[in-house]
Amino acid sequence: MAASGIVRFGRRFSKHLLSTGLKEPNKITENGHYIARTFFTKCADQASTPVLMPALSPTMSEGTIVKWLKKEGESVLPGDVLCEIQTDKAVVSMEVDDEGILAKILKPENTADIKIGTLIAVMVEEGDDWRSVEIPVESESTPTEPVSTSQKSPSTEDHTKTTSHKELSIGPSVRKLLEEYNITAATVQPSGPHGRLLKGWKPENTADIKIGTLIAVMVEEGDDWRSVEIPVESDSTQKEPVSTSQKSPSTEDHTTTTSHTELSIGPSVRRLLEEYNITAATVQPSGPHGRLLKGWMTIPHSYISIESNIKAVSHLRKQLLGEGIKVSINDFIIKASAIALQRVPALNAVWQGEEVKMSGNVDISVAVATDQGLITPIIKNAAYLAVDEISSSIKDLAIRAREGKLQLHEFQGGTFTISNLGMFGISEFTAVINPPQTAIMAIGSSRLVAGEDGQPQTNMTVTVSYDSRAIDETNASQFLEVFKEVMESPSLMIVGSSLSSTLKVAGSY
Amino acid sequence: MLSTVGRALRNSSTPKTLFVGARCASTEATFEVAQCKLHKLEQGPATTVTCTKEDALKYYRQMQTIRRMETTAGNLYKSKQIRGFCHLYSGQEACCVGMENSITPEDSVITAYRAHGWAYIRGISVHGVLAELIGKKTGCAQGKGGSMHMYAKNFYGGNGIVGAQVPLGAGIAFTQKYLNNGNICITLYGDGAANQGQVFEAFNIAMLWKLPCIFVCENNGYGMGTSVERASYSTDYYTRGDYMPGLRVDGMDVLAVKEATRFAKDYVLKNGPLLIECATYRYSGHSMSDPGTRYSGHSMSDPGTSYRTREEIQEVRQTRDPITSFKQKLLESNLVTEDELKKIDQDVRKEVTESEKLAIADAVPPLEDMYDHIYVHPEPDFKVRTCDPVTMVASR
Repeated sequence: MAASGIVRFGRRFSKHLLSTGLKEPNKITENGHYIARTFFTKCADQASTPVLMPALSPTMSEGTIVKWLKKEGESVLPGDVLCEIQTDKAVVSMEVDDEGILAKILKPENTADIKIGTLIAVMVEEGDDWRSVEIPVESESTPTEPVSTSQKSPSTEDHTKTTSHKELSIGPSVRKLLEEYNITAATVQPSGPHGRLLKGWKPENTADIKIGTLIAVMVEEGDDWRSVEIPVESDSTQKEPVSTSQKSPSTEDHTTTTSHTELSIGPSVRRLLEEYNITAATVQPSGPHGRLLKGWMTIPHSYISIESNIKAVSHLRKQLLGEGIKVSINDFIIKASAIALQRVPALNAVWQGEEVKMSGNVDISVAVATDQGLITPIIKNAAYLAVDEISSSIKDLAIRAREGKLQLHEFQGGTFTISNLGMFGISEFTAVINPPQTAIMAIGSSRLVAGEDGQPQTNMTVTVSYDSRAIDETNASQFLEVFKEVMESPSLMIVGSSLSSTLKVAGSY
Repeated sequence: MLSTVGRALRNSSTPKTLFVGARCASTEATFEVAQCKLHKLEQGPATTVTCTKEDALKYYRQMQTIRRMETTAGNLYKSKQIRGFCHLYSGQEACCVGMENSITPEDSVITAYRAHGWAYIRGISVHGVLAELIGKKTGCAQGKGGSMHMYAKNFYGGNGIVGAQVPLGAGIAFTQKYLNNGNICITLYGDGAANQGQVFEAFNIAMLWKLPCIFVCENNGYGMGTSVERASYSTDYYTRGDYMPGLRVDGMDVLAVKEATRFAKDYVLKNGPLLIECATYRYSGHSMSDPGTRYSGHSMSDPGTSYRTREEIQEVRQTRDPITSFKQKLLESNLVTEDELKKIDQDVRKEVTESEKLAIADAVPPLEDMYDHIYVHPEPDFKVRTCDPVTMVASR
């Protein structure tokens, strides 16, 4: 009875030989038939059943036989463990589901990295002479990757099919790329499974039409770029045409940033520009706006926010109004941050070359939108100015800024910047650091929220963007803590020197 | 004459002998099966079952086919032909074979995601199951359903959501009651799903409306990796319907299951729902990603991290295996010969191997099929949106 001694992987093996068109189909089919026949009919005296390396985890591609638990000649029952295999995840037992005799072990213990499908042992039917087992001759070479070949065959088929069904096989990003460069999908060789067109496509042959297509891509990018970046005839372009074509839009972005400023304006700035009816093109590339962008690209930004109750400040402002003194909440904010910067000088620092220097003066740049773009006039020594002085100073600077009459020193050289979009209804935002400064504070609008006591209170959110190379989060949070305290107890703005903050570090300046 | 013997045996309290007697040597035999545990039932299924030789060979073939099919599926999975989900039925064959042979093709069945055995027994060929598992066009769901989503006439599938098929089964039974067609629905769930709230909701409405539904808890001992003792306050699943009558049958004995199902079908048509707990066992892991036993480590003494021992599985295989024990019964009763069974074994191997070959050689579904079968009978030029907002593709 030679017919039923089949181990789970054995039948896989014979089937693979039959079904997968490998290099020598005739020979293999013949042999496969031989094996199959001996399994399932009684015509052969002895049927050997190959045992192949199984995939014992979904990601396993090869394994190591750690231990054979059955010896040659030993009989095996369903559920018995034949050997232990080290997969990519763990040591897993390989069970068999049939009975028989383990006739020959072909891969001894600790044979490393045996590929799935490799013949590792041969079994025979109970009662057969296991010593004279016939070992399938071609087993060493062909079954090493039976799975991949059989899986490949349908997909190769698909490649030819999919050119006609290309609408199905192009992802959105690839479609966009094709449209951008005006390439028809049919001219591109699909590189993905099932004939999917992937971005990493490759030209088929050097002399093929696909290369022409790629030249067209490069022309789209503009003459300068092509002649500098891509030598058309070189091998490297042919190897990776896509990466260059993918790179091109971003390269363009980098080089053209200054002229196409609309690309480089964040939403908050855009909003500001719109409010003031400024077209981005009129913004001077060399002005503070350009620097802001550069800052964002090169400075490692960290962000920290705090909510501050502005009830006291509003109250005080109304009081002053009643006395004919007109100041804005913004003026209080500048004063409070000036005091906070005095207390936590780490944020009042600027880069000098490779070094960060804490500045002796608190000179606060205040972002002002003008017809010519954003400009940041400076309130010098803001910590020592009274709120109404700050107010008049701002008014003067803003008027002259809009008239374009500011002198260089009046808008260059600040140590800290405040940007306030609260008057535009922006609840909170993050601003871009203005180098060589190391921090900028973004003020959102005030809004009514439920306080801890359940009573309504008016809060605003301030967000500090700081250069994490120069400032650590402790300093940043101390700064916001002091700022909040001063904002919520505006009397401290008058007696700044007796600030009751618990901050000990702050006193060092 | 036989019925007299049967009655006598039913009344006797010595259920030791497996084989009771054969009338007219090797055309029919009567077997004693273990008595069912009953809940709110005065009388349970018979403890003797008569079986013709023809039927016996049929049951054996069916169980053996499912076993081989599942073994093959496991191997295909381990050679990476089958990907994704794959829950094997090995060990539980007696449940579906026993039940199917007490109902008619017009009766309905709905089960969870351990569905291969049921799909086969409800009429899908081995090739249809294996091709579906490999994802081929020739699969019973055209390669688009996979392991958990196989369907046949009056087989409402593999359902992927734990326990969700139970209310659906009650609904199918409602249809049958509504149509008054004399058919029933077998609604299966596992011991893991038995603690789902929706199961009890379905019980309630089924009892309220006296639906012709057999709820079957296939208790294989483990809900994924959790033993029933760790998962359920009461592991007497046949009593868990509370007001619903129930019985526990030996799910490793195909004849017991068959008799219990015959009894249950009769009962539910007259009285409304009944709960059967089928005490069974699975040999494989919960799914292919579960080795089923402890990781062996570098030696068998490595305690590992899993939920049951290999020894436990081997013990079940040796003492309670539904196929081996049935084979033993048949041989002892002289109803069949060893050669007849051997012949079946060979035929089954041949059938499964050929189906496997076919399934592997079959084509994968074409990409155009991807958007089909979203609606039944869509409008002629019905289109669906693809993964980008501008492309619409015809859906048939």
